[in-house]
Amino acid sequence: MAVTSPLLELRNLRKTFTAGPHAVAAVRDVSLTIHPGEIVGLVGESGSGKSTVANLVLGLERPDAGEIRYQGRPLAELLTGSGRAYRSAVQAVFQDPVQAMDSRKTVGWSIAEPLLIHRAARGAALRSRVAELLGAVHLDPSLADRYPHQISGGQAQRANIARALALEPSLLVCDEAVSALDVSVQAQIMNLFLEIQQRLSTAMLFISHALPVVRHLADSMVVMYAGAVVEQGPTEAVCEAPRHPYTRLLIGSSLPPDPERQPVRPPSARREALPTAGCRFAPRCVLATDRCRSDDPVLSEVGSEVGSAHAAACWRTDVPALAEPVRRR
Amino acid sequence: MSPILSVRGLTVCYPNADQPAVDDVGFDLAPGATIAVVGESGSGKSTVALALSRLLNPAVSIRADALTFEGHDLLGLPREALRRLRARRIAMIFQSPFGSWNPSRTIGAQLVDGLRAAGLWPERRQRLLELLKRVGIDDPERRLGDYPHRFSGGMLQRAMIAGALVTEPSLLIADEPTSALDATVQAEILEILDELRKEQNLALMLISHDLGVVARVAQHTLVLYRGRVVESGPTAALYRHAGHPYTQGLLAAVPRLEGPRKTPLPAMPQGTATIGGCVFASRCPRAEELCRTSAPPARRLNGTDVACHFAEDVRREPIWR
Repeated sequence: MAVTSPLLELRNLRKTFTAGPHAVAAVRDVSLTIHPGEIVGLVGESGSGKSTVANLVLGLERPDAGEIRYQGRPLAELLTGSGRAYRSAVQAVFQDPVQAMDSRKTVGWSIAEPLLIHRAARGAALRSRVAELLGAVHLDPSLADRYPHQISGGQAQRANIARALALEPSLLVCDEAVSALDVSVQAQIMNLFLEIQQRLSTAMLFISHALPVVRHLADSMVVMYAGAVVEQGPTEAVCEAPRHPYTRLLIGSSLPPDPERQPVRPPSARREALPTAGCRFAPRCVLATDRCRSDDPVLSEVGSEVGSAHAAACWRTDVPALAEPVRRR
Repeated sequence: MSPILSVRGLTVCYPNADQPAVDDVGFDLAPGATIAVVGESGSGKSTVALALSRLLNPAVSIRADALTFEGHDLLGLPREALRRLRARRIAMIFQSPFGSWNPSRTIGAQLVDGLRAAGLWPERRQRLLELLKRVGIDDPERRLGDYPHRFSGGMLQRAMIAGALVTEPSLLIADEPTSALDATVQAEILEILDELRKEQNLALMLISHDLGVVARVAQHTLVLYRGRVVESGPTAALYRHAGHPYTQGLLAAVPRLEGPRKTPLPAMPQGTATIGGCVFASRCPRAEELCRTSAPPARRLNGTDVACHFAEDVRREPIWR
């Protein structure tokens, strides 16, 4: 990425949830940066904390520690009062396209709602803006009069995207936005996200459990495990030269649609209870040493080029096997 | 080798539907072999699985020229005989780990129910414990006393597999068995399932929307679209030389970890059902008048059976790649 001032910065974010006597650190010391117009992919499995990051960015949760800055200004400050400016600049697209819409309201109404709330348009201008937004997501303007149950899942997700674009946001937070879709529809919606990035220069925090989806869309990516960032960097670097054993396990577990190019899954130990100290991945890691079990690894640069921004949080990145590509049979 | 499962002309109609959910589906499954039925939502893939085990509502019409399992006619079998067959010879596992277990009874009690129904309790008790260990449940004797909410989704699916295989069935029907699980857990469970399948010479029918899982697991694949088999064949041939536009479109639409990125994925247009012609015609750039008026029969072509009037052209010049 060119040297621009960041759009959004997350610095050492921490969020702990408590349920009775239990405290779970959902997000531990997460830092990441999104530049204007950049798609940052956030990948992780269930319990990794990726959706909590989304909720923190959307202002739906407040961090226990750390800070979020939008265009250099602290989010806590931006959200005082109505927080309207931030809430129009940062919009969300969620997983279930039909559930995300109000079943009693027409598609057109759902798209118009943010424009009304933010007093951005009314009357004839509102109607023409809704038609324009439907066009932007390649939906026929006649769909404005339909109800969510009368359209397909793919059409509903396009309508949700139209609604998210209504206030011309600078950032879309997409939380599993293509995960519930059939593969042919998923491809169309992924193409739409790329088109939005190119045409409108909208930045995205694209959260998904599906590594190939993130690889396809993201300019840079972040891999989370048990609340912490284990690897991050330019998408090509992370996918082609993964250095953290967990990233390597994810790649080796991703099954391509090709019977002749199946990955050989890297060895991993059985999943055990999550440790409360040291590397959280250590119980599943065949390379783990005593140090891994006692000390929290810190993110440090692993790229061959200095300043490549490719970093992994692993004490064993010097092990030669971690520099080899993940094998395929 | 004679097949353990033989299906010919399977057609399933839900009440008040104008099109059959499953239309003239046929295949053979040999002992120990694996077959996948792959398709998107609405393709009828789950209906095929439910029809085979006759788990559909009696109002649903199931017709077939043949539906034979180990010499039994599944459609004509009396309820009680069918129940015995399902308890011992045909096992099923489903997608939802939480929906498949009764939350108010322990895992152990529910697994014992299965063995009792098969008349194998307590003789298979030791085997059940062994299998639970094999699928990755440590200290099974203690864990059997747990209720389902104490298990993760992955652990419930592991227990489900152990329970399904302990009666030593000859056929396992698995409908999206790992789709709700994390990728790392999915890969591990598929490996364990494959090992056990080989050991027990179990035939597996996998129902899936996931072309990667199918590529990993199945020797033979059927591609289902709007209830019809548009292409079928050995998985390697089908993936390498897809002859049906829909198969090509599905394969091309999947994002991958290799190759180009940040470029538009080849995406099939949406379409509506065509009555009387090829089910895919309204979405197919290659479609001609013939496709809209006459349903193409399946033809053998370079190792796969393709139901497309223009399969030769489509294979020579793929529509989507």
